[in-house]
Amino acid sequence: MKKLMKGNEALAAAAIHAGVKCFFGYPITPQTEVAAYMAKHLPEHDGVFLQAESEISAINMVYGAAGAGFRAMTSSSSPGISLKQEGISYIAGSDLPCVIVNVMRAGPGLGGIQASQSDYFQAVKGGGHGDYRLIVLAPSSVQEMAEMTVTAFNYADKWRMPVMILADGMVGQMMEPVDMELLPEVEHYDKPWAACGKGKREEHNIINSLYLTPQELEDMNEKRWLKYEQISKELPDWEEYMTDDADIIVTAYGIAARIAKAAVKKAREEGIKAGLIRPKTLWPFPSAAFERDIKKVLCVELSRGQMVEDVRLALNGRAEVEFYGRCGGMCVDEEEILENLRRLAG
Amino acid sequence: MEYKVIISGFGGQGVLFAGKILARAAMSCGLNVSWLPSYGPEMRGGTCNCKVVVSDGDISSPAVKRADALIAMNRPSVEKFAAYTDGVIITDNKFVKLCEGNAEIIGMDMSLCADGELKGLANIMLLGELIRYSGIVSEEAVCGILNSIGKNAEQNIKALKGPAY
Repeated sequence: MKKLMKGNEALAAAAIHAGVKCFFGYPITPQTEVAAYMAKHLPEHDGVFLQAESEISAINMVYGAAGAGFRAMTSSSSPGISLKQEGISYIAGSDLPCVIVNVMRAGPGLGGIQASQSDYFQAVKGGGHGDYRLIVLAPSSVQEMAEMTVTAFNYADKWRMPVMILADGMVGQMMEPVDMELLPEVEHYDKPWAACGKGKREEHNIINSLYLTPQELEDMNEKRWLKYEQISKELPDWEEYMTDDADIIVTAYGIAARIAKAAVKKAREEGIKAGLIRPKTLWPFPSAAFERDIKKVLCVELSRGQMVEDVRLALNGRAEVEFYGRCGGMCVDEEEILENLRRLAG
Repeated sequence: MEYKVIISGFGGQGVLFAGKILARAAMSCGLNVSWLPSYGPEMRGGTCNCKVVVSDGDISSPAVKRADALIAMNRPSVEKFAAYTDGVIITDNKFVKLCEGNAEIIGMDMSLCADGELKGLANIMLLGELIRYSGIVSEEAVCGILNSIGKNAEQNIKALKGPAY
């Protein structure tokens, strides 16, 4: 049955459905409903909700809980996610599964509280130090906020690594009908590596990201990189809309993709052959979506141009790539995108 | 069919609530909906608002730049959104002369909601006028939602049916 829910609430409800047992967070607009929902409902499902004293403690609590083998998550918004970067790097370096939610607001600095997509670099290229990756999922509807949360927990446990959901203030705050019966199946994985007491094991499980012997560290990183290569083959996911005969491809993710889709629809009414490619995974980036005969690409973001770099890498000079974006909490408008499409078509 | 509504007023006038009622009623009629609130600091006397899109197809964008209807509950809302409205502006009688643009203007006597049984229910009264004007959802659907909420259902339904009740 469909229920009208905010994106943030749908995400939290789906996390509980996925069996999250520990939520650690700290309030920040525009994601506070996630924590509020968890505070109210997670204890009803034998889970622990804890409001930490800062974002840094919250991510380190996630580190501890994930190390003990629990499904753990934290959520925040841009400046709070910056604070978490050290912990995220440690979690990645310790090969621990967890889900980190960033409901993006405008930056840099304290920035503003309106929706933005200016944390793409931070999420996809690694905001913390060291050779590591996060699987990054980009929901563009309230239904996807819920679905991708379940997927995020499944991926985290399957691949034993942190997964980030990169949403934005608009998707987090808006309400749409959600059908929780359409959520992906929750997968369960054994965690023989968990540091949850020696039990009947021969040795203690030790979870650590410190390797003082360079060769040992290189081997660890190499092993992790092989995993990332496998993920890059298996996980890329995207949506296409009217791409078959398109002369101009608009590409956008998250909320910007919704607005871009509206512009593509209008362009088609005017006889402009436009189509849309919407990456659903930002890392691994769905480069395969761009392996086709494309003449012109317009990348639309709520930033000064971040994903556009991956689009250019994917195309490797095979097509002309233009960028259109608004930032600072300003939202792109379908008319603005349409004007760009008219210009490119003309 | 895609119908875009902006509901705007002072914080506390129930603009977000009215938008949710509209969205839930449309949902109960089998339509797709999106509800997007303004959030964050609004200055005192400002324009708390929500944007509701109702459609029988997929809703591409929940952001509303040009609306088919505006419910404006205060003067700043009229000043801010009237020019972005193509279809109809539903507002207090006293703001009618401030409305600029091409939209049809419906002024209502909101003094009915200043005191007595309908006190504070201007949001629902204006919503009632919108659904009668636009026909995007049935009055029964909205009543169904108001009844399901329970609290003050009777007064809300009276307000919804408006001055003619």
